[in-house]
Amino acid sequence: MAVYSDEELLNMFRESETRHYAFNLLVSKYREKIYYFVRRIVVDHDDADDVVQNVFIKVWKNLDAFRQDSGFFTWIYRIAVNEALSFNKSKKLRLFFSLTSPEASMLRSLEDDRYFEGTEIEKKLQKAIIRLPEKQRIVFNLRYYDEMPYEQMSEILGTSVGALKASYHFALKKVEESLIND
Amino acid sequence: MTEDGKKLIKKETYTDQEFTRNLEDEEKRFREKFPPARNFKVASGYFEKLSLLLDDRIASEDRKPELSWAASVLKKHSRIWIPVSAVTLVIIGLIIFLPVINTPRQVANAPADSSYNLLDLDESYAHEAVVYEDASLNLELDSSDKDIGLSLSQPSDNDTTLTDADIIDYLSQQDIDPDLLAEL
Repeated sequence: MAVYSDEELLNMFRESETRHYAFNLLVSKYREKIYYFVRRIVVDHDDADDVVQNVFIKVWKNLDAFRQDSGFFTWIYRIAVNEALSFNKSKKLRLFFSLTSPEASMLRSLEDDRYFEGTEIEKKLQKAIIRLPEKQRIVFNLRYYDEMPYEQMSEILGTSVGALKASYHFALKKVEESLIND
Repeated sequence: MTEDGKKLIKKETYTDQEFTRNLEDEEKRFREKFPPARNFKVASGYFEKLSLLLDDRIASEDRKPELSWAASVLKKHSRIWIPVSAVTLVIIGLIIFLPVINTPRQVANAPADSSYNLLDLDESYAHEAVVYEDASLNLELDSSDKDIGLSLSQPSDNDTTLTDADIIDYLSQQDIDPDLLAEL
């Protein structure tokens, strides 16, 4: 399969004959990155599956309006962050009536996850990340797992680089403390 | 402030570069301790299925008929049109039922002679009303006749029959237009 740049794929998407083909290539290029990013935010596989599908449907619907002020990578991550956050928000509302906290629900999903393959210490690390405040968790995951530069994170999250660094610093401290105390 | 305090503040106050350097060291140490690993797995073939699933969803999205302008506005503002329609229903309900609720009170407060208006609605009632009024007029005349010794409808037993001349004579004593008397 030929490897196309994002720009080439976007140009192909604008042509009606290559529209579906270009979209399929974009999905193939980003599906794993987006899935694992979303999975770390929502934890449960089925939830992640729903969110990822919604992300790509939004991409399909709005790609014509994408002006390329930012890169496609930044744009799709921004959609993924928004979708994951709004999913968690709606889940929080649903859980309100079942008297379960979102954090407890995610920890239970992690415990029951048959596709989680890691050592005990890695499970503890995941639990510590789940206990972080939502925004800090996103910053931690983008930096620690995706090794994203702060400037790019700043574009995605609309937060200053300084604030992101401070957020990551606090997240590292909290996770480390949680691992020591657990 | 003591020298120790000044030293402590100086030590705790980082420049942006120092903070970034410390954060990088901290991050490096953490990564060495806990190397990032992809612990979440998926069933084999999941990503290929995801692409096919997306194809299906997109095809069904394309098949959906395009929404009209009004429908798209409603969909876009779906959060507000539910309360707006509820308020509209309440207003319509008030418009319909408020007059019904108020009607008995309005009748009670209405002036007494307004009942004549009801008779105007039906000619038969109107006719009956006229007949009723005529009858009552006759009764009133009957009672007043006793004072003046005249009866237009039923002459009393004591009276002899009145002639036209008697009537004209009586009327001429009253202050009545002579032309009218001439006509009679």
